[in-house]
Amino acid sequence: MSLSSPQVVVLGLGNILLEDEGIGVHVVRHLEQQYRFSPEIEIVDGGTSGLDLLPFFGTDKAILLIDAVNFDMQPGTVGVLEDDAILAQLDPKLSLHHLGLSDLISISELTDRKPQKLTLLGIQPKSMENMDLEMTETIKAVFNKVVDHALQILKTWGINATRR
Amino acid sequence: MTRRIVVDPVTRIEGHLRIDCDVSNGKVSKAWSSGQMWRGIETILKGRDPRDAWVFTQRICGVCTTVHAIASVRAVENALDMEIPVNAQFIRNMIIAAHGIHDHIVHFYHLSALDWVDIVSALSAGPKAASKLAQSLSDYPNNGWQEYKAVQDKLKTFVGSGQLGIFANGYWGHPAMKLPPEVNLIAAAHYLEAFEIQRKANQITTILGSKTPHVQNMAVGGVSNPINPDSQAALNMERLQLVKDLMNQLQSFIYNAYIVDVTVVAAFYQDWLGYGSGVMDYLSVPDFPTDSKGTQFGTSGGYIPGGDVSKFKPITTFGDKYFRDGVKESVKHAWYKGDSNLHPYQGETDPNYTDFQDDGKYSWVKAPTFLGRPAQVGPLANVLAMYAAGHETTRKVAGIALAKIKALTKSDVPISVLHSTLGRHAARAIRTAVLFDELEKNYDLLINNIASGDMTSFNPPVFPKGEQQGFGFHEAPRGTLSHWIVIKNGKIDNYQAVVPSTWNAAPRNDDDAIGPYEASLKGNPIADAEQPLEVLRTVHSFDPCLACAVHLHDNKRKDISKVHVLV
Repeated sequence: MSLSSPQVVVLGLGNILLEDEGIGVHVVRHLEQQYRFSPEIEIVDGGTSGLDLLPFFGTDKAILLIDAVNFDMQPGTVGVLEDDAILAQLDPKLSLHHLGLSDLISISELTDRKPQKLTLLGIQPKSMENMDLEMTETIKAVFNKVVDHALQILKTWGINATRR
Repeated sequence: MTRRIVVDPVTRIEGHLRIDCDVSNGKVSKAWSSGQMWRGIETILKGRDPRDAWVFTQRICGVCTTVHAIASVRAVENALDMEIPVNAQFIRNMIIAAHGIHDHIVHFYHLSALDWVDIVSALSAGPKAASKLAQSLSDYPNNGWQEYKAVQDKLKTFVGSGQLGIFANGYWGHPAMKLPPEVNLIAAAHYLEAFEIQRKANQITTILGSKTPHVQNMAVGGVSNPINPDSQAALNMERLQLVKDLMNQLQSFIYNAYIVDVTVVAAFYQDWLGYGSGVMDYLSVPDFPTDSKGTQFGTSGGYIPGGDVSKFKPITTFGDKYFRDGVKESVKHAWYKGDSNLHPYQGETDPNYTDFQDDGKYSWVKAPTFLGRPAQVGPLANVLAMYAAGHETTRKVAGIALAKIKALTKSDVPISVLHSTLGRHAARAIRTAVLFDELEKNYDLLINNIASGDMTSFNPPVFPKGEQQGFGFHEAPRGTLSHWIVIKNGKIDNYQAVVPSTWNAAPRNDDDAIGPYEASLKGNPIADAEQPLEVLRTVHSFDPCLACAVHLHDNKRKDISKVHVLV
């Protein structure tokens, strides 16, 4: 990737009150607590915010979004979408925070804040029907795989991670 | 023939709202407003420390977050009969104003404008014609044709890529869309600009409140901002200068874009100055207190029965008995146990879901009444009260707005046009200018008071043994908000929040009288029952915010609004 050294942002989205819905937030919290990054990156717990996340977008940014995504596949499936493919495929069924995320991406384009690079790391949830701070066993079983995926993506962006 | 239309959920609002309408002869004959989620905050608060209540109540919603913090600390302060330092009032007031400006702009442009503005039509506008028209309406600096051309090109690329994104699910080409392409382009340009402007207003809230959504600087007894002009770690001159710089970027947009756009929409949709009045008993409360006790206010509020401003009865102080004794909430048609009609101090929150019953219980929203009758709250109620009280800025800006509509339509436009769907939007724009005024005024008050040597921002509360009752009100972006608390031996014994959307989205009450949304929908035209845009127009004009109107919510996510047409 040839970028004029953009600021890297990792943005975890989700509602930690609803089981697997919170996977994005759980992953960024883990990254923040367990790793040091060089050069430094910005790690953001985006929660269920929508428009409030717009300031993190900008043409000088490379953004990795981590979120529960309905791919209509087996629970625990991890998928990656990049740049324009995200919005093109983000039909109402795809992202569980469709309203927030697809709006946010459209608005970033229309307000001249389209990031240089935008990657969505999505995880197919098993359950988000119950009020529970814990994720399901199925998703916990793939948690480390998701973290490794995130670290690999960051590596291709020139970011090295070392365990704290 | 009567057909039933069910819009569930209503989108571009906060929370889950269902609206049912019976339609006969192309008009709504009967309507039901149903809150589809339950709020359990009152239950969570019982037994807790009253000083912590604001942190919890603020989490009722992620949109108007500051408001429940403000109303909560005011309720506890009222129960303890406290005075708070004026610096704390000024800081709270600036947060209230900045949050309100942000919220009103987002509501008009990002949540409602697409009910009136056809984005696809903007693609066929002539940028030069749009520029000429815009320059005839205001001297806004961004009215050049190059700017409009740039916006149009951006929209063309965006729509051309097949990614409608934010513009998906719009009623493009609906027969009820009436703006010419040039006006649609001007509105689209401001729609995009509004994203930046709302952010600037929100930044002011962040600087003063440490964080948004959900400010962190409230305290029972004042605010937790230490004031020290020379300290790096306090509210200092550098921070205040940053607030000032942000403030200066808001005024031109409010006067030259927002107010003008609302009047242009009103001029092209004159019909909608006639539909949607509904309940014309209006309730609002004064706000922007400038003394420690809450007896002097920057904005007025009170009760206006029957839409008659000459019968305005003001509410004058925190703790006002007329307000305190006037409020009740009925659960006869709401999913709570029994059919009680109680004052909030005695209020109960015991859920009892029964399914949707047309003549029985059909909503999680309780039905509040003032003096036994439903009341409409919101910017319109507030603007009418300020108008009645002779509030200077309100009168001036209302005059500007009405004169613009008059000039555009070349017809007489009395103040009574405000009792309508578009009147609510106009009132919100007028109120935004009032909020801007309050922001500037409270900034100056704060600076001058600090300059005089007063750095206090907090008086510590003392909780006596025994029982205290108190309530706090706040004129929030969606209208009158009140929190009611009963404290026993320093712990919360009962807590009730009577929120703006509870007033407006109320179901039928103890007397089976219909609530403001329900009343406002009666007589609305419906051109196409499969696409009930007109229902959305009127409901959106209230700026519904259901997260807070209802007392766990339905986990089932329905991203696209389903419209069921039942014959």
